[in-house]
Amino acid sequence: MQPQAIGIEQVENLSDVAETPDISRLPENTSEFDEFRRLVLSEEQGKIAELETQVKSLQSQLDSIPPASAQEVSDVLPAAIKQSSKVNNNLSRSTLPVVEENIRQSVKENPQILAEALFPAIGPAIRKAIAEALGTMIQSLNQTIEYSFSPQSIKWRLEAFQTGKPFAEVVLLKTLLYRVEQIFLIHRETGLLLQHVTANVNNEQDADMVSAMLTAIQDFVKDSFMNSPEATLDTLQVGELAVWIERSGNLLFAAVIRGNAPLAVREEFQNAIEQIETEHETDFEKFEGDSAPFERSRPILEACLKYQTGDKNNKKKTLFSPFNLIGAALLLTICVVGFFLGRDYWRWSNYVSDLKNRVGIVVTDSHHGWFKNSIQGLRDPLAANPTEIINDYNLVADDVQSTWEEYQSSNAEIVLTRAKKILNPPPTISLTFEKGILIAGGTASAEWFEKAKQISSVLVGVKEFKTTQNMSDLQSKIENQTVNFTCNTTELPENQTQNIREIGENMQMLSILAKEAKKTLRIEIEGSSDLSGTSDFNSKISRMRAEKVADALIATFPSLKNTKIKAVGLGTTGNIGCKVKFKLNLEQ
Amino acid sequence: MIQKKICMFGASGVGKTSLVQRFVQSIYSGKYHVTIGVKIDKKEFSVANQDVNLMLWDFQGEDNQHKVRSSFLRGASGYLLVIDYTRHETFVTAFSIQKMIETELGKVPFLILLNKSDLVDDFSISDDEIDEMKAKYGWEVLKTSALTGERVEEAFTELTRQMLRHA
Repeated sequence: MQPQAIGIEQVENLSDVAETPDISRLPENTSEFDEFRRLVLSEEQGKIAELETQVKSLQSQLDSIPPASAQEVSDVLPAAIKQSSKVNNNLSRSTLPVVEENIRQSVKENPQILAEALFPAIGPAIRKAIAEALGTMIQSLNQTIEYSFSPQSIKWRLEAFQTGKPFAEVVLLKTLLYRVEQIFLIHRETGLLLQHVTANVNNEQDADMVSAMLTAIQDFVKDSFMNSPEATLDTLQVGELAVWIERSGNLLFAAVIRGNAPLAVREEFQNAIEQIETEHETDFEKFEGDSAPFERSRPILEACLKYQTGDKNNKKKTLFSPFNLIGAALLLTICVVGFFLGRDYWRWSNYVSDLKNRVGIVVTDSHHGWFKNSIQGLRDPLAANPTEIINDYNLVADDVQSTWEEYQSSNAEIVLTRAKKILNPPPTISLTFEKGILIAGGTASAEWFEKAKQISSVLVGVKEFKTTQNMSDLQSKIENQTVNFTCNTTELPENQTQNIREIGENMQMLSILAKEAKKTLRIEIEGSSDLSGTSDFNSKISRMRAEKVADALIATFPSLKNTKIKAVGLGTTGNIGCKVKFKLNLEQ
Repeated sequence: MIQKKICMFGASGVGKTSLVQRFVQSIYSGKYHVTIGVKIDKKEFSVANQDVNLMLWDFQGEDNQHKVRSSFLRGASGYLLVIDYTRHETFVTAFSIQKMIETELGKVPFLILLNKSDLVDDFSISDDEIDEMKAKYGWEVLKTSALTGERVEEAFTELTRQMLRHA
C-alpha cells in the first residue's frame, strides 16, 4: 500500500507543478509577445496539457477504485513480506521499532501473557542449563578429587611444571578421549575464511591462511589422486590430530580434532553446516569477500566444539585381553620366582644366623648368590658341624661353598667339653668351668689330679685348675677311717682292699694339696690289738698290722713313697681292738 | 573486513614470489610450491577507507602456465600477470597465459607487471611493444622491481582498488 500512496502524492505534486507555469493566466501585452510565447513555449505547453490530461485520468481511475478490503490485504501481505525479506531486510528494520514497542507495552500491561507464552521454551532451557552446570560441577569435583592425590597427578603436575602448561590443561589432554579444538568455516569457491572458532587452544597459525591452504590441499589431493569428481577428501590425520572436512553447496567445514571422535560427531557437523547453509542462502548469492554476515553462525559452530573425557587406560579393557594375560603370566612368574628366591634367602639367612649363635663357630663372611651361596669363618673342632646343620634348613649342601679354619674357642661350654675330652675324668669327678677356672668336684686318684692339673695349664681358656677338696677335710676323713684286722692275725683281710684304696687316694690327694701349700705331710699309721694277748705280743702284732697297711698303701700308690709315713704298734695303749688307724700331721 | 583472493601468474623466474615477499611477510616456506604447487600469503591493508584482507595465491612457476591447477584459480577476484622485462619470451607467453586465465575466471580485474625494472640495461622488451600491447588490449601496465620495491605496493593496492570497484 505504501508505494501506491507515494505514487499518488507524486502525482498530486506533479499537478501542482503543472499549474504553476500556467502562462495563459499571465496578463496579455502584445500580439508579438503572444507570438513569441507561442514560439518559445508551445512544446512545453503541449506537454503540460498532456500531463494534465493524464493526471485527471489517473485521478478518475483512483476515485473509481474501491478501498482495499482487509481480506485483500491479508491475501497479499504474506507474499509481500516473503518477497521483501528475499530482496533485503528493510521490512525487518522498519517493523523492528513497532515490534519492540509492542513487546514493551505488553510486558508493561500484563507480564503474565508473555511469561506464559515463553515458559514452554524457557523452562526446559533453564532446566537443561542448570543440569549441565551441575553435571559439569560434579564432574569437575570428581576429577579434582581423582587427580589431586594420586601418584599420576604428581606426574602430571611435574609435566605441567616442565612444559609451562596449566595443570588443568595437562589433565584434560591426558584424559581426553577426543576434543574438537578448532573449526574453520570456509567459503568453498574462494577458500576465504568465513568464521573460525577455537576451544581455548593455542593457535599459532593464521586461520585465514590455514583455511586457504586447506582448500588448496583439498583441490590438490582431489586433482592428484581421485578419479571420480564426486570423491572428496574427508579426513586428514596428523599424529594425534585429525581434520574432518564436511561440505555443502557453498561451504567447507573443517574441524580439527584431537583424539578419536565418534562418528556421531560427524553427523552433528553435517547438521551444523546444513543449518548455516540454509540461514545464509542470500549471503552466498551476493558474497564479495565480506565475512561479517557469518558472525551469526558462531553459536552453531561453538556448539560443535565438543569434547569427551574419560580414563583412557580403562577404556576397552577386558579381563582376558592379551595384554592382561601376558601381564598376569608375567606377574605369576615374578611371584613364583620371587617366592623361591625369597624362601631361599630366608633359609640362608636363618642358617647363617644359627651358625652365628652357635658356640665355637665364628662367621667372618657370608654371601647369598643366585645359584651358589658361600660362607667362611672359624670353627672349633668341638663345635657343631655346619655341613650337618645345612640339612636342617633344607639347603642343598652342594650349593654352599664352606670354608672353615680351625681354632680353639674360649667359650665356657667348649672349654669344658674340651677339658672333659682331654682330662677324661673318672665318674667320681664332676668338672665345671666358671670364669676361667676349671673345677674338679668329687674324688679321683691323686695321679689323675696331678695329670689334670698339668694338662689344664695348657688348655685354651683355662686360667686355673681347682679341686673342691681341702686338706683339713681330707685329714679328718683319713683320720676317721679304720682298717680292721682279724684278731690274732696280721694278714690284711680281703674286704679291706677297697678301704685301703680310698684311704690311699685321700692320702695321695692330701699329699698333693700339702705340696701345693708348701707343707710337709707326716703320716703315722697306728696299729692296735685287743686285750687277749701279752703286752709284747700285742705290741708286736699291732706294729706288724701297721706295717702291713703301710706296705699295702705304698704298693697301691707308689707316689706315697715320697711321703713321710711311719708305722707304729701301740698294742693296747692306744685304741683297743684288732685295727689300724691313722694320724696325720701337716707342718709348715 | 572484506577478503579477496588474488593470484600471481607469469612464466617461471619472472619474480612472482619475490614480488609477494616484497609485499608481505611470509610464514609458509617456498617448499609448498614444490609439494602442492601453491603458496598462500596474507596481507591486511586499507584501500579507500576499506579494510581488506588479501589472500595471495602464488603458484609454482612453470613455463607452461596451463599446468596450473584450474581448481586453484577458482574464486579469485583478480590477478597480477608478471612479465620479466629482461626476457622477451615471457612477454610473448603472457598473452596465452592471460587468455587461459580469462577462460577460467572470466573478466576480472588484473594488472600487467613488467618486473625487474631496475635492470635497465638488460631490457629486452621495447617501449613500442609495450605501447602496442596497451593500445591493442587496453591492458594496464606497471613497471615494478621486486629488488628495489619500486611500485610493488602500488601494484597490489591498485589491483585491490579495481577489485573493490568491480564488485
